[in-house]
Amino acid sequence: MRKIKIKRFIIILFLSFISFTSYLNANPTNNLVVLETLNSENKFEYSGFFINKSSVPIYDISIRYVAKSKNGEVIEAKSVSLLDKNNYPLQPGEKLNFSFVIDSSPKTIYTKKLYFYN
Amino acid sequence: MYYLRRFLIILIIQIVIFAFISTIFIFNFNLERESLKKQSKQFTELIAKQAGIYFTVNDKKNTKAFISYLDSNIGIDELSSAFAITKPNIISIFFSDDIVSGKINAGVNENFQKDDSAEINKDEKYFFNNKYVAIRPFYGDYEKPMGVVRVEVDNIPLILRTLSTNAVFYLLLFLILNNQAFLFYLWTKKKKPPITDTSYIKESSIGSIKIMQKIINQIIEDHNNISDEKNKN
Repeated sequence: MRKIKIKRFIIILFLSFISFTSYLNANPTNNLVVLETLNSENKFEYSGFFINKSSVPIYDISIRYVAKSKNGEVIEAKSVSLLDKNNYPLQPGEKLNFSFVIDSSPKTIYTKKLYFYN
Repeated sequence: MYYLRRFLIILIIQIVIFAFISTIFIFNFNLERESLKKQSKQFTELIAKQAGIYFTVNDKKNTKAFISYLDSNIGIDELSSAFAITKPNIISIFFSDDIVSGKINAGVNENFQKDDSAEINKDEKYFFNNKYVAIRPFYGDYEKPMGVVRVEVDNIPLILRTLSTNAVFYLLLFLILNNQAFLFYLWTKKKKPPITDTSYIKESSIGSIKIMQKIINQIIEDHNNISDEKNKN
């Protein structure tokens, strides 16, 4: 009886491990490329575009930007919704241009992360 | 006490096995990291080449138009799929006059090459630098660079990637090593002496008993010989 329990435990452990690693493989990063540059007001400006490659309209797309200082402290966090009245909802195959500006001084930003929500 | 000792031995064996698997994991991770570095350098070179061509004939501040130019020349999908493991979300384009005037810290030296000692090019966390930065200058008509293309890549997703790719291999290795450890235990296990009824006397005493037996036999034999001779007479 005890042996059967141990066997069952090993099988469950094995299957959980395989499922977990498969989950990691099935979650690649998104296909968004954003260009960063310094604008005329000496602020970081981000521009890029997104194409709806799915077969259904998209009702919500947003980007969250997080900037950190030299010590790892968050100095600016900004969420930008990419859809407005003109392009809501984003139809299949439709292309969306976007750009946004960050208020923090470029010299104080050491690490920046961009998260995409769809 | 007996069970505690057994448990400790098992724990030590498991730690040794895990240490061995971890060494293989670190080796795999380093291979993946080198591959990512190579990819990042090639990617940055490609963007720098396009930036050099574009900004020689166009307004340098119009970067929105540059991303459309990249899309028409290379294709954003191709750009984003160039990174199979972990890709940069942000491609930075900084112009040399902004860098020289100190408006921006691009992490480059006076020759517009990557400065490895710059704080902005490092991100020490979890005992290693988990940020890789690739920087390439781009040129216009002159020898002096017009600016640099900078790409930052996060190494952390590589850890998960390496783990997920080799998960089955690590698991099988763990099982095989445990199996080998058990076989080794069986091989080195001492054979228990069979329980007999002779345990009441020590093995070392048998020799003296045998000598005594020999002497007694000799005495009996001598007495028998004497009595035989008497009978003959």
